[in-house]
Amino acid sequence: MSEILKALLLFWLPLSMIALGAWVSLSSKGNFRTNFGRITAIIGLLMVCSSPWTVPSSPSSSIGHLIGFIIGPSSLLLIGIYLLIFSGSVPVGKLPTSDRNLGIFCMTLGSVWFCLMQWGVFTPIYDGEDVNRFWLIFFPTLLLMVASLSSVLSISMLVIGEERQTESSVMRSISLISMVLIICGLTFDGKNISSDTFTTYFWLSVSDLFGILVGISLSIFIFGLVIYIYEKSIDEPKSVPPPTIDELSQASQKIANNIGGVESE
Amino acid sequence: MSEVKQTLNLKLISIAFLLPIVLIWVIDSSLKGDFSNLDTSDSFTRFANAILTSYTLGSIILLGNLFFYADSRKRPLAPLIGMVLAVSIGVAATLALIGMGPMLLEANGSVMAQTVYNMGHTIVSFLAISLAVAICVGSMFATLTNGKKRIIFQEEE
Repeated sequence: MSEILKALLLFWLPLSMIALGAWVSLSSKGNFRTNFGRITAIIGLLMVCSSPWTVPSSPSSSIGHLIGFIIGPSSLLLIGIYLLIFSGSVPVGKLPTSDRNLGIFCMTLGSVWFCLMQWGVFTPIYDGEDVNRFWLIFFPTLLLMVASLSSVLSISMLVIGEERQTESSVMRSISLISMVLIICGLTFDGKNISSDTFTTYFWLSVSDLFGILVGISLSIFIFGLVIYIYEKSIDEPKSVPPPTIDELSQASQKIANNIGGVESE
Repeated sequence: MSEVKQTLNLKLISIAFLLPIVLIWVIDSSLKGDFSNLDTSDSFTRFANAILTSYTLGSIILLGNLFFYADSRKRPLAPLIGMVLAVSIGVAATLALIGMGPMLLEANGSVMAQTVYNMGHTIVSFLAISLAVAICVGSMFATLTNGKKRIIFQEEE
């Protein structure tokens, strides 16, 4: 089997299975289709994560290597957020208040784990030689996006919400922590990643982020335009004739039968 | 909300998005005394590749979304053809521009290698952006649910 075909069958096909499985599972109402979608996505994820062993010669398999490395800290962060949200005052699915501490612990552990991957010994080294190049893209983009989005949410809370100064300051703190981490990456060398490498990839990730924003906006604009042109081209729907006297009296009879009840005390 | 206030809010939000980047740029330049690590040529190449790839991938995802739209419209063909055309333009533009020469090639030897790298790069960036959105929006909800409980109506007391 040629290398390209192997990469197609053992990496790109499983990667598309994740997206397809997630789509089927989220869009289906029946149990069978939902479970089918979930199983497809899980099989796809396992195959992508094992791609460094199944297709070691393909450069794309370093994405699978990266996913295997980030799955731990990312899950900890997401579990931490889930525990923090639902241990608060929520109307449904409330967790015990003690889970809040567990949530904070999970989030701290996830963040420290990511920092150790950048500056410590947990750096994803691909093929036993170089730092996984997709990690050099992932981490700066993550920090940059957290810094900018937290800043946006902080301002939004002040502008849209009322008396949300405390919540806004928490979001500002998250933005500030991300900025400090970025400055540390730009200034201090890690065990495996130098500050120069981080600087180069950080500014490339800024370009990348703006490129993605422009590209996605363009595709949404085209999508809207296609729908608008189609909707404009179809005829006006036929007007429904006004109700007859019989229909009106029938409707008022129905309404009268359903209005009433015992007056509340 | 008045139109003037909406425009002002949008401006404020745009400034809030750009502020951390500008601050980092200023601090980094001050600490290092110069700004030698920014290669504008590499940045432009990445910017152009990101636009082309995210436009094409975004159009493919939105093409999938047309199935939901078609469910409520007796499955019309016209928007489907329109979106297929939009995706084809994206693919053709990507291949043509990368094939033009070294302008959009980032240390990759061929159009095929650069296209595959672009897809991988965009997928990794999407992962990072999705995780960042989950962290930020989740943290915002966590602060809202863990904050002081508010009394909305006096009669509820």
